[in-house]
This record gives sequence, C-alpha cells and structure tokens, in this order.
Amino acid sequence: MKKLLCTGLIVLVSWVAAGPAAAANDPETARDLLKSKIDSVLQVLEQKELSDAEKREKVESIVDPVFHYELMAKLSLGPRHWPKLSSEQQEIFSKRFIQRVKASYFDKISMYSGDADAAFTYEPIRTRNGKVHVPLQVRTENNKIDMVYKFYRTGDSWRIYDAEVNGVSIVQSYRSQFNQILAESTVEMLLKDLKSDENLQ
Amino acid sequence: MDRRKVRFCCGIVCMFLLVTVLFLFPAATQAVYAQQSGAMTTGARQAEEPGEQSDFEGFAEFDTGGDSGQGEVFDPLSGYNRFMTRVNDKFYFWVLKPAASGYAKVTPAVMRRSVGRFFKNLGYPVRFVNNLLQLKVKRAGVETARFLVNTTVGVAGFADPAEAWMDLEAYPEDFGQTLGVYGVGSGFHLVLPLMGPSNLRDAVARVPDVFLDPLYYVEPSELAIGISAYNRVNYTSLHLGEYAELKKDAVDWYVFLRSAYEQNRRKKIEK
Repeated sequence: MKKLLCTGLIVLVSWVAAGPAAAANDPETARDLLKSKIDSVLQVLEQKELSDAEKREKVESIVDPVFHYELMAKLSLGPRHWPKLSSEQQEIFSKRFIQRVKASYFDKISMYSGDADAAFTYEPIRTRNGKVHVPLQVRTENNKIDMVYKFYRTGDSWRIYDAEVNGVSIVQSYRSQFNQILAESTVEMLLKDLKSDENLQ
Repeated sequence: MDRRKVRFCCGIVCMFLLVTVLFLFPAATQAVYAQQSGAMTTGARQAEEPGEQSDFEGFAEFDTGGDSGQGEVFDPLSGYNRFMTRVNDKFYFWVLKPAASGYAKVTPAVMRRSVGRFFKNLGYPVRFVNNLLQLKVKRAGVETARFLVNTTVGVAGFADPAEAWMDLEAYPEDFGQTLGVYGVGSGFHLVLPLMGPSNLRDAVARVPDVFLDPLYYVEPSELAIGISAYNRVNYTSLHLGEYAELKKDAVDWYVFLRSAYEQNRRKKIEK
C-alpha cells in the first residue's frame, strides 16, 4: 500500500511537472514532455502487483492526453477517402481505429517491459514545418528499436499525431492498408475488417 | 573447383541481366505511374468538400502516396505476392516457430545471443564493402576495427567487446541500400520464398552480397545451407512473439508487410 502510494505520488509529480513544461513553445519541451510520459509509463509497468487491465488503465490515463487519436484516425484514412464517409461512418471508423491503436500500443510496450535493462537514449530533436520529431532508441537485450514520436502544436500544448518504429510510421502503414482495401472494396467492408482483430493466431 | 567457377559465371550473368532489367524498368513504369496518379487526382477532386479538408492541412507528409510516401503503389505481382506471403506465414508458424521455440527451451538465451553475435560478425564483409561503395569511409573503418577486435578479443565474434567496451556500433549496409543511395528506385514489390518481403532492387542486390558472405565458400553446399538455417532458427528464437504481435495489428497483413518493408528500407537508405 505504501509502495503504491509512493509510485502514485511519483506519477503525480511527473504529471504536474509535465504540465508547465508543455506550456512553453520551445520545441525542446516536446521532448521533455515525452520523456516524462515515458518515465511514468515505465513506472506503471514495473509494478508487478498490478494486473494487466489495471496497468493498461493507468498507462492510458498517462498517454491519452498527449496522443491525438482522432487526428491519427483521420490522417490514416487520408484526405482522399475521409470525406467519402458519412458522418456516422466516420464516427464508427474513428472509434474502431482508436480501439485498435490503443490496444496495439499497450501490447507493444508491455512486450518490452519485461526487460528491466531496457535503455532509452533520446536523440536530438528535428523540427519540420512546425512539427517536432523526437527520435529515441530503445535497447533491450535482443533488440535495438529506433522510434520517432511526432508532435504538433495545438493551442498551448504538444500532441502526438504519429509515431515511427524502425522507420515504419503508424499513420503511413494504416493509410497503405486502407487505400488498398478501399481500392478493392467498400467502406462497409473496411469498417468490418477494422472490427475483427481477435481472430488471428 | 570447376563447379564453383560455373556457379560464379552463372551468378555474374544473372546479375548482369537483372541489373539491366533494373535500370530499364523505371522508364517503363513511369508511364503507368503517370496514368494512375492522373486518375487518382481526378477522383480526389470529385470527393473534395470544402471545410472537410482543413484538418489535413499541414500533414501533407502522408499525402505523397505509395507505401513509403513516394509515388503511387505499383504492385503488378500482388497476386503472387499475396500467395507467397501466405506460404511464408505457414512456414513461420509450422516450421520456423516450433523449431525456434524448441531450440530456445534447451539453449540458454545467453548462448543464443552469443551465436547471434558470431553470425553478425560474419556479416562484416558485406557491411564493409557496401559502406565503402557508399563512400562512408569512416564507417567502413569502424566496421574493420569491430571485426578485428571481435574476432580476436571477442573469440571469433561470439562476444562483442567492440560495442560493449569501446562503443563501436555496427553500420549495417547491403547492396540494395547501396543501389538506393545511388538513386536506383525500388521497382515493384516482390515477396521471396522463405525470405519474406523484398523488392526488385533488393532481390537483385542479394546476388553480389552472396559472394561476400563467408558461408558461400563453405563446402559442401548442404553444410552451408544447414548453417544458415541454424542462423535463422537462432535469430527467430531471440524474437519469438514479435511476428504474431505485428500480425495482430494488421488489417491487411500483406499490405502492412509491403508498406512496412518499403518504409523501413527507405529509412535505412537515408541513413
């Protein structure tokens, strides 16, 4: 109980610390924000007494405010296809897409969290027409993973609109798939395909 | 000896033919690309509604089309590619994965990582030559230093003191990346049996790299095949679960793999 309180406090402190940092317009603050988020996520994952569901809930409460899931959904479908969907379809699409991305994100980070020696190296940020890309390398015992978190500025905060793993962008990969599906099939099929994700090996 | 000469000559002839195709191919496809993208823009214009587009402003980085954001997708072999993706999938789940999990059960991870380093060390000639071909002289030097240190102090490469103690990291390069650096386009996507996703350029580029692989000079060739199969099982044993994890996320597994491969290669060529 004491430990839980303690970690809770740490999470809270890093949360609060992230707040004012994000308010500044300096691109470096995007990296600070990411760093504090990742540190808090790692702290949650290290708590062995938590069930997976509890961990997921905590992780989501940390990362959800910074990921712009709705924008990711829109970007993944792209300006060519998005307007073709009725607003009802857009809603269903976003909902299913977000579910998928969230589940996948949690699966990925918990897969590597068993590795206590995972080391995070933050590399110099890159700014590209108003966006800030924060590259980092994650080293586990068997893997070296290059990641890039891509932030854009909205209002007074940084939000993530895409992430890359070993050069593979989430938005780009989904867009390739959605383009292919919509070239050969219908929006209804796409929505159906998005839903079924538990039937694979 | 004669047999090897014949193999060598065949290799050279194949390479020459394929490289010729590779350079002629982009010209032939240009026309197709142009037609396709023409059709696409008309479609887009019809669908456009004012107001809906505002959210996409500033995110044009994803709008260049294609799997890696370059041009439209040109996938003339998609039927074959999808079929081969299914074959490779079965190969993974029915052969490779069971073999690797069984092997992992009886072999400690420390040892498997060590074996992985041994095979990585054998990749030195490929990395060295391709770094040089790309005029990355300093990196070629680092590669050589790594090879010398790891082969001696690292006991034939089973340990990696160059990285652990001297902070010298490998710079993976292959001939596909070398061609990419000199502006050769990837051509169409091509799924290779057992090897997985590739494209015309990278598949052709495997040929010269084979000559730089020490395993090519192992006789009899059955032994060489056995050794590289062992390398594959060993590698897979260190990455169990990753394939299934990726597959779970994909809406269309083949298109996901194609897109991921092209994006990953493009990043590697930029490096």
